[in-house]
Amino acid sequence: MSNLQLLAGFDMSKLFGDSIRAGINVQSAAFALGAVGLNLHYGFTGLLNVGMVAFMAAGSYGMAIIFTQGLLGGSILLGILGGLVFATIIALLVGIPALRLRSDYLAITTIAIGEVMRISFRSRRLLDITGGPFGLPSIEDRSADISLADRIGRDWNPLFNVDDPTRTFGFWKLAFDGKTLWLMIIGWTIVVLCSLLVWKLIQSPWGRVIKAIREDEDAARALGKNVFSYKLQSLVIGGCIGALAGIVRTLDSGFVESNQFKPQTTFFIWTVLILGGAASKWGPVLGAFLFWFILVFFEELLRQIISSSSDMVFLGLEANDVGRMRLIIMGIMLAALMVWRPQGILGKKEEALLDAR
Amino acid sequence: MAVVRAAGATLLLVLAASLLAVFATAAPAEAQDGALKGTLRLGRDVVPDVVITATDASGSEVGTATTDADGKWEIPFSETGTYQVTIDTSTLPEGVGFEEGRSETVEIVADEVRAKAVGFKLASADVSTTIEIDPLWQRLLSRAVDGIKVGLLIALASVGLSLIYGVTGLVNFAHSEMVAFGALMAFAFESLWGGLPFWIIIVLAALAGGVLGFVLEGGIFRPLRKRKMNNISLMIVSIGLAFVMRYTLLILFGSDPKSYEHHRVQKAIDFGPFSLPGKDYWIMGVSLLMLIAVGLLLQRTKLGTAMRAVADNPPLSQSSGINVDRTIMAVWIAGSLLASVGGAFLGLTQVVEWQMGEKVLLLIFAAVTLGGLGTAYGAMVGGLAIGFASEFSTFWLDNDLKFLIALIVLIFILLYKPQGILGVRERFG
Amino acid sequence: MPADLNAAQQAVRTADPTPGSAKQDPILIIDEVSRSFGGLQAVDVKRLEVQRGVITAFIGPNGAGKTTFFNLLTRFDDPDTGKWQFNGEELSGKLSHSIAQAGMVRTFQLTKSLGKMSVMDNMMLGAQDQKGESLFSALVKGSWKSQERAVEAKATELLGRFNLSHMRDEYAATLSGGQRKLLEMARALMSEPDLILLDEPMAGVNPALVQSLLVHVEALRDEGVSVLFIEHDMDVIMGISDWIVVLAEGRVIAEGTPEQVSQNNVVIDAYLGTSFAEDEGTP
Repeated sequence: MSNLQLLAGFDMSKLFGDSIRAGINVQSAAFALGAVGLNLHYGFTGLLNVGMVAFMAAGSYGMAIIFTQGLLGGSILLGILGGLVFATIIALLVGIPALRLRSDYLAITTIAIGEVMRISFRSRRLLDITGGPFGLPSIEDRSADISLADRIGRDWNPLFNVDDPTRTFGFWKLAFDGKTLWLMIIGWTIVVLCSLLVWKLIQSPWGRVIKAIREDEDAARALGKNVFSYKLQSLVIGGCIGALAGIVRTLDSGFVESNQFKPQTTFFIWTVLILGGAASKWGPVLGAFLFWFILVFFEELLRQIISSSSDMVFLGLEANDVGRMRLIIMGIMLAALMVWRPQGILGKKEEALLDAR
Repeated sequence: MAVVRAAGATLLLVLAASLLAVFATAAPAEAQDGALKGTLRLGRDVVPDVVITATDASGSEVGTATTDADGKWEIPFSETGTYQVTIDTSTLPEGVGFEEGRSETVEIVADEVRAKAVGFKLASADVSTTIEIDPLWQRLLSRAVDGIKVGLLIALASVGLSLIYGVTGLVNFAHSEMVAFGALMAFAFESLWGGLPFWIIIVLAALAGGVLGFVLEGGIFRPLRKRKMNNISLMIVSIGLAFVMRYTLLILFGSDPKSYEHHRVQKAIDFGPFSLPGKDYWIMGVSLLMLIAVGLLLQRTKLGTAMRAVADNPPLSQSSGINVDRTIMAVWIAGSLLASVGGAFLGLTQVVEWQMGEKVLLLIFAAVTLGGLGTAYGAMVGGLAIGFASEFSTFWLDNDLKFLIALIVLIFILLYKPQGILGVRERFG
Repeated sequence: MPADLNAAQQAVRTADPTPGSAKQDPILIIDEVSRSFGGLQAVDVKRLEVQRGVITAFIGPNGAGKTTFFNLLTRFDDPDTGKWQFNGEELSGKLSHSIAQAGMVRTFQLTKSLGKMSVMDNMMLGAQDQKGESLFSALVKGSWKSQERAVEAKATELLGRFNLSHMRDEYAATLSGGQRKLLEMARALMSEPDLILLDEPMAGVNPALVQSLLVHVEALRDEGVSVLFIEHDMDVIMGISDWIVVLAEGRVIAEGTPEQVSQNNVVIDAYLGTSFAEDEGTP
């Protein structure tokens, strides 16, 4: 009886509505994109990139800096291209020393470069370029008087209506304003295109070499494949897809700040990939949806339990611990998946079993 | 290949040089937005070289500043909210503390994004003390001594990571959380039993670290190894574990930076040209002794021989009668214990907080790679070198940018001597 | 001397049976190759010529440096000193993948089947000069489709020859130990090598399969591929090798035909007399 009363106190519509909303939002598309890049790195090539956030930062900051400095005439597309070039440079910088070595070394180097980039970007010495600790709160080309957010969300947005700027699309908790929906369309379109690109590559002889490197790089080498070159190609392509993830997130938020690029973002992306299924075609997409759904669902559930309990405490947790629990849930999820379902949801179980032989 | 390598090296050199040039020469620009600022004074004197940290309500660090020669400091912020501004008491001159009823932390409510003045009330134990700015050589010397101190602590924290890699092949990303664990355990034990001598607190923190190592190996990693999980998967598990540990510490201890009651203010003890607080002699002495003890353990005892044998060739050592599981367990316990002690000591020289592990992670990995992944002595030498280089660099570079030194060392080692300075030549790629 | 020997076999059998002797038509010429680990001299080969078109065997007690020598020649390990020429081409400065591309392909003692790829994919990987293996062509299926079909046909034929046709769509990890050895050999053949280096192809293989492996090795020679292989089992070596090189402590202590080597006192002392008994249990 008391259980029912407890349930009655819950706002089910908010619980499920918010969770689904988080699963399909732009943020989720950005994470899916990061996971598509990581899938090429880890799922197919076996590269241990634990610094995906470095590529995201390269994309975001690269685009934002080029745009705000007016370097390429305030063109958004050229700015995006600049972000990709920056990510390529980072990939070469990390790959040339580390890819010749055992896979652990790539892990150490990638986590290091991610942290160093974040710390460097927030340095006050770079205040004029990266905005230092303040970041770039609004990305605009002052000389040309163009703001990135307006350009994307308004000028180029077919869903934006000048007469009715607050018009929303959708229903229930899934009603989105024109700008958000437009960015969701852009984001998920890029996700689908990148997924197909990676899949097409993997189905080709190029992909066969890549998978062979994952299985045993000495075998590939003994058959005349230039393993180092292939690994570098994979790192660059996956890194550029990671940069697009950062760019999508920046297009949505309209600002960049060093705090967006903490190492935990990389591990969110790892969880997304493992959850969906590494080395699968649509694993990153499903993984991103489920990841955000689960995260928001648990957070909201915990919040509702705490606020419905008489002393506002549940298992010793208070309201301001809820956000912190997110990272703990993520950590447990990542570890548990690795142990009990390494193939994720869409991965092939046989392949995971072969690993244990 | 040689061409690629040379091109890579050149690229890196150019990048490193330009980064350093940018950071070392560009003058800090004036703050355009909000800033917490002030001038640190003791009576009529200003106090230079004191580290001040600001954190926001969620506990994440907003910024760190060091008072300049005029005692001035400034930390920018971009959002309204409540900020905790804390003096790193270990950087205060000897014999300087706070007035009655005041502490090293001041809370500031910033309702607008603009400059906010922050005042601390310093008091001197010996009122007649006047603060003088030391001559250059002495400041260099004091940085060098700081470098050795941090180096020893990083070495303590790194040995376990390298040894665990040596005997199991696992790169344990959760190892640096042991550092935060040790410091916070020491803090917890001190608040529980404040009457105990501080060395007992350190011993308790060390034991807690050993117990945690036992639990992690026995409860998580050994069963997973028995399931034949490969080391790459285990590494990802350790990443998940690191997050669980870090944020559990946050929930348990909160986000505010803390410091131990003991040794907050200490008189300097002169020793030749050095003038250091007594605790620094202790930290350096004990750390050095512990490192020597690890060396003796590895060289002179049966357990140490077993550790080296397992690191060398697990199947062979198993067949020659060594209990591999027990050896791995011993390595986990010892490694975690050392990292905890390193953390507890680090808490004496910096603030104690949940993010300590995250902050030393990079240094520890650079140290272990520099020394040679899997070698205990390498980790010691690498730890000393990285700790010293990064700390000493703060003489020229911003505090934050000492990590850049670690990264540059890391990349150069990977390019030119990937086995590390003490590792055995091994075939790569 | 049996009458059915080909010209190369006859030529090598008349070569001078002393270490470092010249061969009539050498495919591989090795000079001063050395490698030490710490203080231990693992390989120290002054001069060695390998005859084209025959089966040459490397034998020697455990720790003689046979596998290390293979690793050096294929650049899976870096020599301290030394040069070697393959088909008249200097190979010593090259990396392992270039050496394989030059036509000198190896297999491994512990087989390296690519477990999570199908047997067919394993085979197709072996083919050289595939257009679709370059990044940009990979996206244009038209540019590699016909080559892919040719590679597949060849792989199908080789799988048939090696009795693996029924496994073509299985994961390579599901193969038995002997089947993996066969797969690895077949895969190496996909690259159409001039010289194939087999590192203990019979080790750990079910004795019933050894005979069929031997037939395959002999078939390689009869097709004109030169074979260099490491083997422990003396009977196997005597049966199929045309020439035997004996290594001990990293040096070539003897070479000659099977008959000459089995009667060589130095060999009997260094190898057959002392270490051979201990050697049997090794994988």
